[in-house]
Amino acid sequence: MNKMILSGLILIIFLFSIALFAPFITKYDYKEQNINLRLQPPSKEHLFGTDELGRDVYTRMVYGARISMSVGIIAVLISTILGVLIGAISGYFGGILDNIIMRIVDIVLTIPVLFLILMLIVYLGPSIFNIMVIIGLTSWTDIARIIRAEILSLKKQPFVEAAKLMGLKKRTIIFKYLILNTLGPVIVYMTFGVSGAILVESGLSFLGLGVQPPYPSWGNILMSGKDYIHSAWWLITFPGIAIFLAVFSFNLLGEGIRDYLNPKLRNER
Amino acid sequence: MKDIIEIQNLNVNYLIKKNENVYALKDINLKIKKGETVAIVGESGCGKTTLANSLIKLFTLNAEYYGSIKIDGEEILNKREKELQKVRGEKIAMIFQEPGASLNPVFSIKEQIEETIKEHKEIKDKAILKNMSINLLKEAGLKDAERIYNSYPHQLSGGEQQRVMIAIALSCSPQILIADEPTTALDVTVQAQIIKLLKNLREKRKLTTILITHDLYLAMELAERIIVMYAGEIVEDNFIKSKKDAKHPYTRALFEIIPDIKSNKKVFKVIPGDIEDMREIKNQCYFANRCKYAKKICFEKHPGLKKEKNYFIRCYFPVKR
Amino acid sequence: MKELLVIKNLKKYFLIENVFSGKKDIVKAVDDVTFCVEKEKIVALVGESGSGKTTVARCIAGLETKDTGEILYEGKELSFDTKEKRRKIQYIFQDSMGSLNPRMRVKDVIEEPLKFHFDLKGEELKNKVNEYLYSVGLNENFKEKFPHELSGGQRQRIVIARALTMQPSLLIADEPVSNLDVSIQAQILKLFLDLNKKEKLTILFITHDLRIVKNLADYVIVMKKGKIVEMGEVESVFSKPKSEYTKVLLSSIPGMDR
Repeated sequence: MNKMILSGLILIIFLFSIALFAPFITKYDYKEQNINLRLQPPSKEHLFGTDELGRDVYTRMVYGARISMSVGIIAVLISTILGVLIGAISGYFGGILDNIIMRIVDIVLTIPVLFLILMLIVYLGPSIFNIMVIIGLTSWTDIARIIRAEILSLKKQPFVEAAKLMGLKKRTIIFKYLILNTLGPVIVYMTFGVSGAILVESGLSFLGLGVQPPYPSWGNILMSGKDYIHSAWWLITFPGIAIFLAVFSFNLLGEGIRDYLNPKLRNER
Repeated sequence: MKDIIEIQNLNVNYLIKKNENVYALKDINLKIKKGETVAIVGESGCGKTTLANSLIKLFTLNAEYYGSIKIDGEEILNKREKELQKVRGEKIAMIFQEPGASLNPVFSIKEQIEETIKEHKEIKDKAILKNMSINLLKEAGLKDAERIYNSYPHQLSGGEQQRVMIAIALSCSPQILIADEPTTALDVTVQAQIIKLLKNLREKRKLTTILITHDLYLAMELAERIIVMYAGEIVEDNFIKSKKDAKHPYTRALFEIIPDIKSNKKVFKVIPGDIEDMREIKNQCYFANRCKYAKKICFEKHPGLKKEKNYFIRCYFPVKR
Repeated sequence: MKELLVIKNLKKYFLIENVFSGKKDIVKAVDDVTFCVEKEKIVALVGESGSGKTTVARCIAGLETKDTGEILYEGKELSFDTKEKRRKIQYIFQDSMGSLNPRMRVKDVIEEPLKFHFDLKGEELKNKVNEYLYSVGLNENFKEKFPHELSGGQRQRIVIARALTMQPSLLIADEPVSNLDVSIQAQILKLFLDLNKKEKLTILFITHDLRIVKNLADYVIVMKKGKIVEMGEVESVFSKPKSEYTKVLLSSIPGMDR
């Protein structure tokens, strides 16, 4: 187990725990406003200070972790399942079906993803559920291409032909013989996907198109913070660090797994 | 006749994990005279490729090596890369198993042959280079040398590619030619032609030739002196023309199990067991577990390489019949 | 009838497109091939690269579709539309590592066809798996291993065991020992010989090594550039070869002139 995987995992578990045990590590309510205490700097009472409505920033950050982590993971699950299935079907069956699917992929890729997401959010309305689904449905093309390429090369391997010689059903061959052997790239893609999704969600919330108040998100804390850059540095700093930490930890894990898989595969062969 | 290659107590092991070593070569002692032809025979893991690579000091990053290798009197194991470049090509040249993999697919044959000549002989004149290259290709048995000269590797057949490799190897007029399984990836008719070519070349150029192969009969086609390796050691170093010349039980066994073209019986003799795990050093004969002549001492004490008359043997009970 | 397999005027051409020039070339991989394979015999299909021997074998196994010609199995046209029919002809590849799913343990590899074709479960399944492992010279200790933990010879044995679980009538082996060491080759060849003698398995053995053919096969078919140049009983073809090409092949064998 290499150091990157270990450190990435430690950070991720740390962030997860914060999100999970939110009620136990905070004493305020994230929506509780207190105009008298607005824009207080970090203190013993308010670890990360308060925002423009007097809400405790630390509490909002902790609950924001829940949003960011869940959006990241569910969006990636959607895009991975979609991408793997489409890529596998395209690669396995080939021919006209493959052609049609790849042309659809090309079309999707020509549309700038961020604008697509923005348009869809504006059209469907910003809600946590919508954000997860939209991010998921707009980012499956990369993994689809990767899986299709893997499957095209795996198809030629004798063990896949051996499976056909056994008379096994196509379904079995696609899942047990092909997709199962592409797990490496899939796991790597998923970890990078989570960090990407967290960034997109933060960006959307920052623009006001993501998580809506009073629900907290690291992005929308940043949004309120942008008006007080010079007077209340804590409103930008803490969410910024949090986003950085989350993205960094998943990227670290992804790189670690990718490196771990490569030399091992060489030994196996 | 002088010894052109002298190997003393060569040990090579590969570090594969933190505390795990693969002992590829154990205490190799070997002398080869100028102009001699030698075949090194063995199966996978016996160390023959490591031995060949050691002669041109081609080690992987995780290799540890001890001992001495002298080429034409000069120690090469302590030479630095720059000095080694003189040895490689001018003293020793090597051709490998997969000719397609040894040729750079994006450069033409012309560029690959001439690059070597330019490096070693510092000739720049284009006409001279072309002339030399065409002659080398012809010497390697390529009759339409002009076409090959202008071709790219993927346009040539396996046999043609291997001949190009031989031409490149000869371009610096080496004294020693090592061929590491040169015909394994080729068709059997092409194999016969390449062996014939090697025979001609060694006559013409007075080359010291070392053939590495797993095929005992192929070895005997080219060489009279056969060095048999097993589990990283030399077990027999002898002049072998047929089965009865072989003294080590493993060599005998190899003769017995290679299907005999002249036999009519539908029978396959086997050597029981599997090839040795190279991660352990044992104080016993490494072949004992599979040997039909093994006795108690074979399992208790590692036999040394003994000199008998005109051959070397690593066995307590060489087969004399 | 004596013949398990009858091949008549088999043709298989490939269209190769040159990526750069756009020109299309026809490669006549199998060019009008006719022969038959008798039950319980070992037939060797011999040739160099480009001879078409592998393509012929793949057409028989259903891994390629023929262009024209007939392939008759037990007198009827070859088809694999039922599980039973698919079982009857099995194929061993040259690359033992590539023949096994890297994610499946030895146990799963042998169990899969037994479950799929014969619905075996529980104790019965376990015993059958052990039986097949022993029949190829291995034992239960191998059950939990992954392909990359095995040696080339062990992998090839697993591949053979997997083929045997389906109780085929015809086993096609495409250069099954070419990648193996000599001492291991001998063990696997002996296994093939035993399977033919004891289980009465008909074997179509593809190889370029005539030494193996002499000791293993009853009949030999020599192919060159998609055509059959000579065929017959091994003894007569080797002692009195009629085709020039066969003579060249025989003389190219190392040690032939000793």
